[in-house]
Amino acid sequence: MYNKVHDEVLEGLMSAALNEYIETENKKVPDDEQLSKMHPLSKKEKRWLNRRAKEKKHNKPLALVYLSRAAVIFLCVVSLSFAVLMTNSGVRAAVVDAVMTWYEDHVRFDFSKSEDVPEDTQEGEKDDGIGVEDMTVGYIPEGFEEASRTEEIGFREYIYYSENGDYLLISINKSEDTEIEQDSEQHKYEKIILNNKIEAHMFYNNEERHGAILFGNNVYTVSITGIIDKDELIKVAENIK
Amino acid sequence: MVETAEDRDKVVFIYENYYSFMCWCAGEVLGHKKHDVEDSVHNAMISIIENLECVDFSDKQRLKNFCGIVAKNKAINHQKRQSKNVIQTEDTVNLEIDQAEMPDEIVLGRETYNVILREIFELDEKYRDVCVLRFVHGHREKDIASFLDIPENTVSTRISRAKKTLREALRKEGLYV
Repeated sequence: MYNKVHDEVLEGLMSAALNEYIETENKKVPDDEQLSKMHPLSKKEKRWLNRRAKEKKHNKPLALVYLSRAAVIFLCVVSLSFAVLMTNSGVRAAVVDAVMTWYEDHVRFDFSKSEDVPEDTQEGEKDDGIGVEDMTVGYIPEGFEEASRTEEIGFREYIYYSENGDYLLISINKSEDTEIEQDSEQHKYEKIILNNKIEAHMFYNNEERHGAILFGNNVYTVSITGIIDKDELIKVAENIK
Repeated sequence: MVETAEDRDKVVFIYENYYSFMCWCAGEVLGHKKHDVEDSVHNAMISIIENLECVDFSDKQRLKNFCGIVAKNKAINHQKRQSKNVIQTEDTVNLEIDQAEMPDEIVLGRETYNVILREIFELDEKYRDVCVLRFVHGHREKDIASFLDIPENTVSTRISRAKKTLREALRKEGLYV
């Protein structure tokens, strides 16, 4: 303890003396103008600094550097090979076909293969479309007025508008006739359960208040689209009986 | 390491503002050997870049002095390498003698300070620079070693020797009883 205190006293005095020394020495240094005349910072020096900064930026383990370079070269070779292959019309068609299939798989819902059959659906309903005709829209939000209605065998479509320009489009189809496609761009997708039993697919864009709910089984498919609050959209879906 | 834009700005700031000063400091050691001076400043910048997180940018005058010390020491190293006197034999002395000395008591007063100040001015530059970085700039011995490109042991030895020199001077003046 005594030793430490003693040493700290000496260091304190040294620090003060060193500061005084620095002040004295600083006075001997030529001013900045003179210094820049003596040792101007040339473009060559600036280039050196830029190079150095870049080198330091990539100061990774050597193995990692070579690995990343190898990966880049590999990607270039693959890209080049792909570009060469794409000059062949057959390959081009196959690629386009693969992309389209992939796209459709992500935007299309096919309920016709569903195993779910509503409990109250009778034998034979599926064939003559009675299941669709029996379905009714049980709830429409306040302020919406019916603008058009189409009722055909195996197909129902209702369009509603509100005074402020919001709309609601309800389509009910025989599931064997229809596949539903929904453009999900800028919409958040989630699976929801209607009335605690029916699984449905919902897309909703909160900013634009635009959304869609799709659900169905091997008898019918229902698509509800519109500019409407999310809660109201769900409520409309739950009240289609 | 220059990994962020902020670090890059710091490096550019040092280079644009203190490059000439660093050249001047290196030139004090190497004379007018332009290429040697530039090499020393480059080495100093590399050390600074590699230890940028330890550099204090809050006090510009202190930062300038710090850059000068690093450049000057790089110039000393450069000179040593050129004269093929690579082994720093003067710094390999055992510290045991100095540390084994029983502590006496410093007589505090203006006279004591004046003796220390006088000795600081007369102290060998290599000891003084290490002490400046340690006691004025507050760098750790490890960082100083990295900045000056010398072993950490050498930093400790130089600090101990500087202290020993000061104690001896105080004792001679009867101020270290």
